[in-house]
Amino acid sequence: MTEPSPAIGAALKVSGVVKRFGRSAALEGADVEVREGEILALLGPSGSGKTTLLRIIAGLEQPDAGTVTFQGRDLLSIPPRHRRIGMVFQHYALFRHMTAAQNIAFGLKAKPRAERPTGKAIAERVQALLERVQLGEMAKRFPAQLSGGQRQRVALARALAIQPDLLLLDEPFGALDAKVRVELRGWVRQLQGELNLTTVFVTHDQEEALELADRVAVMRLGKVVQTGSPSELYASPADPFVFEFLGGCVRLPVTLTEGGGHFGGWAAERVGAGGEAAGEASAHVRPEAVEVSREGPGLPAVVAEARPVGARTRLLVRLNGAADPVELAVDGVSDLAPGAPVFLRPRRFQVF
Amino acid sequence: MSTPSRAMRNPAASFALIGLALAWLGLMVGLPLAIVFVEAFKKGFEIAREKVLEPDALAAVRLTLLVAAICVPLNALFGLAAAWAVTKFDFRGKNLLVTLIDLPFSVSPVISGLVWVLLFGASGWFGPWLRDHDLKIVFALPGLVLATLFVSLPFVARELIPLMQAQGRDEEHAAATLGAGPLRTFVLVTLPNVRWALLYGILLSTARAMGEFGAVSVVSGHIRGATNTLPLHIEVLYNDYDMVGAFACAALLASLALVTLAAKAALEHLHPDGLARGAGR
Repeated sequence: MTEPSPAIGAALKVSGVVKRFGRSAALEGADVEVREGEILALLGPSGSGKTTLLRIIAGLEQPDAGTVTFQGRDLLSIPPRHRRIGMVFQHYALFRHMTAAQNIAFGLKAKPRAERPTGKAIAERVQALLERVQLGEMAKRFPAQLSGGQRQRVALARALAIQPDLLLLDEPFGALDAKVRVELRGWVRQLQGELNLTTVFVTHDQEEALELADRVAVMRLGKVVQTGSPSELYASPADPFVFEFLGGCVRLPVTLTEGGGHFGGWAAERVGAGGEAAGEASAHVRPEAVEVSREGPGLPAVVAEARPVGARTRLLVRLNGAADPVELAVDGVSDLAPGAPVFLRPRRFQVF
Repeated sequence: MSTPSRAMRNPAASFALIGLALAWLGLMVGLPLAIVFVEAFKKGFEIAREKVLEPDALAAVRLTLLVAAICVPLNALFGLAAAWAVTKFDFRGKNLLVTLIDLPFSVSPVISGLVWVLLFGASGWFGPWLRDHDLKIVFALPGLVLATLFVSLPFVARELIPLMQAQGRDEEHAAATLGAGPLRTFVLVTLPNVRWALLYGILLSTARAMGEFGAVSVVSGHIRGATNTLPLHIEVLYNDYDMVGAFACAALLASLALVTLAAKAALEHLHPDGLARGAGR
C-alpha cells in the first residue's frame, strides 16, 4: 500500500527488511525510500518496528532478510563505523566522562590518520559546531552538568562533526518537556535546511512528524503502511489505521450515493478510493470537517457537554440512538448548552 | 525517596534498632578484632615486632604478597573481559558463563584446593607426567596461585557486570557510528566508564587473595618459610602455642585487610556514581 516508487533522487532505499528477536518479529518486510536532502519521519505506535528499522540503517542491528542501499551502495555489507551515518540516540548516549567539546571531537579523532584533521583544526571545528548549536559557553561541561535540551544539541553536534551523508534521529524530542521540544523542533528544521542533509527520524508523535518532516512513513506491526507528504497523508489516508493515527476521527453513519453520500439529507464529498459503493456505511470523518448547525439538514444529535478550551469550544454530542457521544470542536465560544438539538454536517468523509 | 518506616518516625524504636545492630556488630566483629590486637601487643610492642620480623614470618608475608600480585591482575583482566563479553554482546552460553563466574562463591574453598591436588598432586591425573618432567605445582607456588585464583575469581566480574548492564550499550554504539574501532571504543569509552568499579573489584579481590585460608591450606603442604602464606603461618604458630607470634601476625594480616577496607570506603565516598550501587540514577 505504499505509494508508487519515486524514481528520482531516492538516496536511501530499504526493501523487504525482516527482523526477528527470538520468536517475535519486529519488522515483517518494511519498505521505504528516502529522497536526497529530505526529512523523512518514521511514524508509528510503540512496537511498530520504527526504532529497529532506524538501528538497521545505522548498522547497530543486522536484518534477517531484505536490502538497504544508500546512493546505490549496499549498506548492509559496510560495518557501522564506515557507513558515514550520524546518529542521535534517544537518550543521547553522550560519553559521560567527556566534556561537551571532547564528545564532539570524538568522531574527528577516530578518523584514520590520513583523513584526520590536525589538533588545531579539530579544536576549531569543535568550537564552530558548539557555536552552531548555541553552546559556545558549555564546551567544558560534562553531560551530567547539561540540561536535556543542551545534551540533545551536543549529541546533534557530535553526529554532525563527522560530516555524515545521512542523519538519523531516534525519538529526538521524546525526553524533553513540551516547551523545549517545540523550540528545538523549529531549530532542527532550520539547521537541516541549511545543511541539506538527508535525515530520517523516528517518532510516535504525529504532530511532530507532520510538522518536521517533508514526508512521513507510517509504520504498523513491522511494516510501512503508507508514505507521503503530511498533507497527502492527512487528506487521503490509505486505511483506517492511518486515518485514526494521523488526527482526530469520528465515525458517523452515512448513506452512500454515486460519487458521494449524505448524512441525514446533507450531501458531502467522498474522498479516497476503495470501500463500498452504495448503501449504508460507517464514515471516517475529521472532527474539524464537521459543521455543527442548529438547523437541518444534517445528522440529528443532542449536545451532551460544551466546554470552552481556549479559542475553541469542545462539544460532546450524542447521535440519536447512539450510545457513545462524539467529540467535536467548534471555533469561538459556543452558546450551545447541554440538551440543545443540533445537526451535524460533515464536509468530507472517507469509507474504507 | 521512600517514605520513612514507622520505626524511623519513632525515635525510641529507631535508637533501639540501631543500638541492637551496633551491639551485635561490636560483639561479632569489633570484639574479635580488638582481641587480635590486644593479644598481639600483650607482651609489648617490641616482642610483637620481633615475631613479625622472624624469617619465617617475613617469608610468609612475601609469599602472600607475591601470590596476590600474580592473582589480582589476572583476575582483573579476566573479570573485565568477562563483564565486557556478557554485557556488550549477545551470544550462546552467556547464562552458563555468568553461572560459572559465580561458582567459586558457592563451592567450599577446601574443594577448590582439593581439585588442584587431584589434578596435579603426586597421585593426581597429571602427577606422574609432572614428576617425570621435574615440575612442581602442588606444594609449591603454582598451586598456591591456582587455588587463590579460583577463590578470588568472581570479585571483579561481579562488581562490573551490574554497572555495565545499567550503563547499557548506547555509548559503544554511538562510538561505532562515529567511526571508532572496537579497541578505541573499549579504551576510550567502556574502560573509563567502569574505572572506579574496576578498582573496587580489584580491592575486594586483593582482600580475598591475601586472606584465603581453606583452598591454600590444601595445596600448600605447610613448608615453613617456603609455602606458608600469612594465614597458614598464623595457624602453624597457633598450633605451636606461640600465642604472641600468632596474634602478632594476625594483627598484621588484619591491618592489611583494614587498609583495603579503608580504600574501599574512600572509593565509595568519592565516586558513588562510578560504582554499581550508584549507577541506577
